Amino acid sequence: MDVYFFCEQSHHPAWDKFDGMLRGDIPNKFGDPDVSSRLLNEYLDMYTLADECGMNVMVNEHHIASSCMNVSITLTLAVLARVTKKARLLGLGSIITNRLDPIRVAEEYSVVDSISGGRLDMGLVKGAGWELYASNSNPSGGMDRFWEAHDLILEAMTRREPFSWEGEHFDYRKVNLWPRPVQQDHPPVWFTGNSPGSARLAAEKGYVNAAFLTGPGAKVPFDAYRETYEATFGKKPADDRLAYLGMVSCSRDKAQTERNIKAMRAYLASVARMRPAHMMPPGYAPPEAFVPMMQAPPKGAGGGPFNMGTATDEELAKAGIMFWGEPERVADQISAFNEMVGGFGHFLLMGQNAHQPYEDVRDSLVLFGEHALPELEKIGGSSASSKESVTA
Amino acid sequence: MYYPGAMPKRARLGGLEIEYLDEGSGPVILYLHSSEGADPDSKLLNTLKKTHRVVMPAYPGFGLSETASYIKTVDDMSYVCLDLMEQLDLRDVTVVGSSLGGWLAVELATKASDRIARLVLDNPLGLRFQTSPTERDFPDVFQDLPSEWCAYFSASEPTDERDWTTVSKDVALRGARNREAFTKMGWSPYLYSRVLSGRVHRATVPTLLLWGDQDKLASREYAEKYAAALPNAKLKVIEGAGHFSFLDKPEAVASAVLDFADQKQTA
Repeated sequence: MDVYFFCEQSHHPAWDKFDGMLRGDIPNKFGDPDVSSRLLNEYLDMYTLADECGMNVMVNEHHIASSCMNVSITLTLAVLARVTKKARLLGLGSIITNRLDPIRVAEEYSVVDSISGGRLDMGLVKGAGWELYASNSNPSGGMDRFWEAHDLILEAMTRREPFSWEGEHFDYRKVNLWPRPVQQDHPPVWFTGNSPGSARLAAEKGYVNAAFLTGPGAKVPFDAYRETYEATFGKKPADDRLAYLGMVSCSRDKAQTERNIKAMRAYLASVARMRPAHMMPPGYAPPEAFVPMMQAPPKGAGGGPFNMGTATDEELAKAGIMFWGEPERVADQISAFNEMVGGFGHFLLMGQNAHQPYEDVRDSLVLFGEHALPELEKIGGSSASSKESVTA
Repeated sequence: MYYPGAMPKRARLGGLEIEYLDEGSGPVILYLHSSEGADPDSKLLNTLKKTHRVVMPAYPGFGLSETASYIKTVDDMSYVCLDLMEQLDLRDVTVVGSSLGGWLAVELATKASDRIARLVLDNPLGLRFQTSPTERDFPDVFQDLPSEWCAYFSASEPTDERDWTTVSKDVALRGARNREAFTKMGWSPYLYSRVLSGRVHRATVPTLLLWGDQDKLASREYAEKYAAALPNAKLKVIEGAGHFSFLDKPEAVASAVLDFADQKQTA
């Protein structure tokens, strides 16, 4: 198993100044430019430290969000490509359903791969429903746009002669990617998929599928992935085709543990601060997928196997939502969870949450790197990077 | 609010299978439904059917009508309606359209069909009158769940009491398809066409524009500007009706339609 440090780069000081939705709504007057500047630099310091501690790094992207100030995967990755030395650089991911210009995505990813000497993992994602309110892309037909953008990006990276593209959604007179990515034919592709349907799409292509904060429910998309992968390629997938994201904090003492847990719980509480309409505007999924929801509306919020708000800290650790405590204990928790869901090769370590300050994150990363990472690297035999596996 | 019911007939138009209704006899009314889709049992239709032949298609992507990747705008849908008028050889047609259907009716009328005798636009959408890019004509219904859209559409039903668990899967699927198709047509530009204002002068047939004085989507000023933008339109206010006048005050809308259709006005 290998590990990717991830930080969502929030503007958390704004969260207490506003009662409403932290994603999609919160007016930017609640953001302080000086605070943004300080925080964004601290987050880059955390990423740099993660590299020094032997971890890979992952960045995400959101818009109109106090929960994530990174507005472009490749902006942060471009910085990290230069300042990190060994880390693989995972962008998970570029929201190609909503990007008006997929060639720009291909170009920027290619530059990141080039600057970093071939360390890019290239996440291509559909994006959350609320992202459509920022991009104003039509929710209807999103998956068609996603696949056409995906096809175009890979064509651009792999073709060696200029070509034209006349598709349903994108139209280019001449595509001719400069520079070419260092990793040939193209950097490894990652998808996100918390549902069996999404996991199957990744499996058919042999891409890495990452489940985010699903808890034990990760077994469902992982099983679906393994089944589809085997049906497609005639062999079982290596564990490095699957990834899981959970929150982590390692601490030195009880007081630090309590602070860290409070921050992780503050993140969990923030997730619900989103308009219900923004989760799934009509067209975000096919109408057939809305029918069961209309005919059997979910009872209450959450809907998971347990209520994250009322679960104990211990229960949340066991469920794979947040791993916490001394680093040895964190390694045991992750290892047990890995067995529970059938095994994954990449752990995406969400290592800064809500208001958790730089000093606590720094301690957590150093402790994790020294005491937990070596244990986790033994799982699955090797810490083979995704680069060494199939890229279909 | 109402459930989008099954339509009795099928037509193949430009390669798409479209479901529609064709009932009653007498002069022809082509009824163009709202974003909530076609209700074959609506009070308005039942009143009109007593004296008129009423034809109502479910547009591509609405109801169980097929759609295609090239159907992206209300303008695109208008060609399917033209196909239907020609296939059924409808003549001297009174086109009545509610909300989204009113927009579609104007798109149809700009396409020089001599089959259209007059228009009744029941709280139509589709034109933009704001001059500043930071102002919009309508509140954004997409900030709310579809089950909350009633608050914008209906004066008599501020909350949506529909229970989709009690209807057949087909009816729920029609509901889900209507929502997606409305989103496809109305998301961006939000409930208007960028080109219609340059074509609206072609809709020269006599036009009656109805506006519900409780409309929470479009203002009276919007309705007045809309009527003024059309070459031959007059405005009639339906008292006590919201944006879906056909739902809140079906009798008042029906009598306005019948009075106007019977006047046999000419341009």
